[in-house]
Amino acid sequence: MMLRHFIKNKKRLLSVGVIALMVLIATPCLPVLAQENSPVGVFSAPSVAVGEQVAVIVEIQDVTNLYGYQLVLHFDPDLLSVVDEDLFSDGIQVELGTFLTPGIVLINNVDLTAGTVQVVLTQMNPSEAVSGSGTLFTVRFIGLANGVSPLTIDDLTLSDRDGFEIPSLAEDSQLTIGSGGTWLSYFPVICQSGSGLTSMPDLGIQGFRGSPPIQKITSFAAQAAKLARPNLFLQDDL
Amino acid sequence: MKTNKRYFAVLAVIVILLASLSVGASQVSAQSMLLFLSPDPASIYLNTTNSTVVDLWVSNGNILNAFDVTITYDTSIVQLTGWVNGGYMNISGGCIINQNQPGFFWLVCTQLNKPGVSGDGVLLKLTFTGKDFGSTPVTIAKAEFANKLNELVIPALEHGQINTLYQPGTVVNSSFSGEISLQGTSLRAGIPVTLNQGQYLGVGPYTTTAMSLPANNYSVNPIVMDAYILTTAFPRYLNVEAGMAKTVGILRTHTVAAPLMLLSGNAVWQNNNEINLSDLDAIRDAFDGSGAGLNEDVNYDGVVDVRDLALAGGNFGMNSSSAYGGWVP
Repeated sequence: MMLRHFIKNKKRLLSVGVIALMVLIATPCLPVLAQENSPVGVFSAPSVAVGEQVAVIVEIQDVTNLYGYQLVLHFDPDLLSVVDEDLFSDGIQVELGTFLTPGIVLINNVDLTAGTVQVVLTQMNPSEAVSGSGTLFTVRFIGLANGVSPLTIDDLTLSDRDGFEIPSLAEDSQLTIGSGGTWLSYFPVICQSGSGLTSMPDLGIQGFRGSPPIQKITSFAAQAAKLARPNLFLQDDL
Repeated sequence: MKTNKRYFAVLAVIVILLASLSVGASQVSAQSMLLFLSPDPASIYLNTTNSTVVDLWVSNGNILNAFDVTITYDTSIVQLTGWVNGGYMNISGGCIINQNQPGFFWLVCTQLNKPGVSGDGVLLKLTFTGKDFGSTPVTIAKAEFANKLNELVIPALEHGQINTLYQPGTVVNSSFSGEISLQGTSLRAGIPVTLNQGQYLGVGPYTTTAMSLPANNYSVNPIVMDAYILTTAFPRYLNVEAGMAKTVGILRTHTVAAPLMLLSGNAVWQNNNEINLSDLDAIRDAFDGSGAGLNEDVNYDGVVDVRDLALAGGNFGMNSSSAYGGWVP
């Protein structure tokens, strides 16, 4: 009786066996998935008109236990310039993101001749390592001439708190400089307040991916004016 | 039939006496009665008999007939391996609770059909065996007595202490090993570990070097049974200093130290066991440098990069004390 029952269900048993075998084969792959490279790059498709500005966000995705990073972003210095985000320091600096708490900023430097943005930073004790996705830094480019500038990343190293390298993947992108309309994804302003200069970096419109927000400069200026009254002035004459 | 009657009589006596220990029984002042441990402190010589007998004394007892006593101690240092009646009371056949668990000894006994006991005497003789070098309090966690009048008697308590140490002059060879690793690298070989001169027998120091082994990667064999202060000395890392008094007690059987991972980031490491601005400055100045022998290459991968910076940043402000304060070898 048992044997007959067994033969009757032979097909089902075979199916179960095949599924079990597939699971066994697939199982060793799971840790590999967990060690995938974390992509770093400009994941939007930005463009800017000559004489206008655009904020380009360098992001990291799906990272685990990030504590510090170093990278160099290359651009075409004949087509693009960069706005200095730190007027009080020598040289030209980009705006650091908030994904990491920048405890030690070893290098934050733009070389307009070489066309490079180099950032080296790490968090600091007692900050904990962070996981997920976020902004590493933002570069505000100014279009100089029509063309397409590559945005390539090299010398990329991600580190966890124990100094072990986190696998990463530098994703190259490009920035189109054309004579069309100007659309900004980001518009930091410096406002005058009673306590001096105050940065207003967010306005709730950064951190996009895939589809850049459709906002005109005048719209942001109006928002900034509302937020920063009464003594508003813009850092750049847009 | 006769046996049954006797059994019930004994049971009744026990119940009555124990009931007198419960809450609600009349309590007499026993300010003059004292329960204490002797000798105090007691010593266990790990390299000789490795045991000692501690007496639980009663002083100024008054017609006592039963007791409920609990003793606690640190199980990592000693173990209560046995007890016998000290002779103060005749408790033969009258103990209804006798629990001897690691770190916890509970005994409830009564005399059976005997007159109450007064005066001084040894209630119990407790035999302890050493488990590791160190010191443990021996606490009389609970002590209640009942006298012949079924009154609850609470004595004053004097707790004790046992020190486990080594008998000078008695040389016994043993062996020692441990696991030591480095933060930020899989390298494990070449870390110097020293057991400084023994505290009781004065033998040593013993210096060994860690090997590239997966588990215990340093060892000393033979080593004289004694207590030693362990230190490390590995460049670019925070090291365990002698002043931290991380003492290893070598036992008769093979002794294994707890695993230790040295923290990195100490680019300026000569006479400096702190991760501070000087380390960050050094790493900044040497950034992108490569080659062997760079102190700023704190993870020994041959290049000074963000990984070295992350190590120094992640450990910034730490020193040997904060890094290894919780490590007990």
